Amino acid sequence: MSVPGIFSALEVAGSGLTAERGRMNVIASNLANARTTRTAEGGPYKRLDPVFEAKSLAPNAFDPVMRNVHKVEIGRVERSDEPGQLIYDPEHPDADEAGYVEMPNVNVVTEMVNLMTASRAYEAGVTSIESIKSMASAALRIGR
Amino acid sequence: MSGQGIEAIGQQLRMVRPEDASNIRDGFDQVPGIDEGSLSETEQVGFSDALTAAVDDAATRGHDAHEMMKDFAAGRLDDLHGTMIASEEAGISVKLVGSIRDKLLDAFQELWRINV
Repeated sequence: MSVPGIFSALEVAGSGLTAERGRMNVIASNLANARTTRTAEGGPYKRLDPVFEAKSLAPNAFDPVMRNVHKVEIGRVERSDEPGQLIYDPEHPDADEAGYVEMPNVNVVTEMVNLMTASRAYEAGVTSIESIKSMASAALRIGR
Repeated sequence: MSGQGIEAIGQQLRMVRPEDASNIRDGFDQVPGIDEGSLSETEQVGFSDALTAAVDDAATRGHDAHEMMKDFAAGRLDDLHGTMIASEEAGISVKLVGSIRDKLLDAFQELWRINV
């Protein structure tokens, strides 16, 4: 849309939903691989963390408010290289000579907290979309 | 003014001579904005053009939303909220066009009711 208006607000809120959905995917990946000891790069799975970036919606807009409105998007996904927990399990095919297996550095409790944050942030985005919608409906009621 | 006010005005109107009437018309011609020649080409964008643009915009949004829903249903698209936002945008656009049309029809009816 050329003129920023009610639909650009929907676009911004939608970008928030997309970003939170991406975060949800990354968290799901971390949780699913909480006990994965083999990866394509070798070694155990390392926890991933999405980095959100602000992106200007209309950098050349005349309106100073619209110039400062930013969408959000996942710029990159950071990989944590912290060492994982070592578990003594000599039977494990990925155990080293001493019989220790390095587990992924994923903390399930932390991931659950992040999951709740992502899901609440998504709900907040949906709530803002609902209120943008009701503002548009209210504006249309002027003409009635 | 007494109860005979309206009749008195009627009497005065009947007394207006043709040359006075032409003076009145001359007066109207001097009112800025009534003279069509003073409007530039860009200012003369008709109401129907604006309405057509709004209808086209709504139709495009509706078409996009329809395509997204089809893709989503067929599994080609995974963007649930994007689809919903597109269909909401289409709905708002159609409602806007509808209320513009209602306003236009109201104005037309109003003109129709004028007693000449």
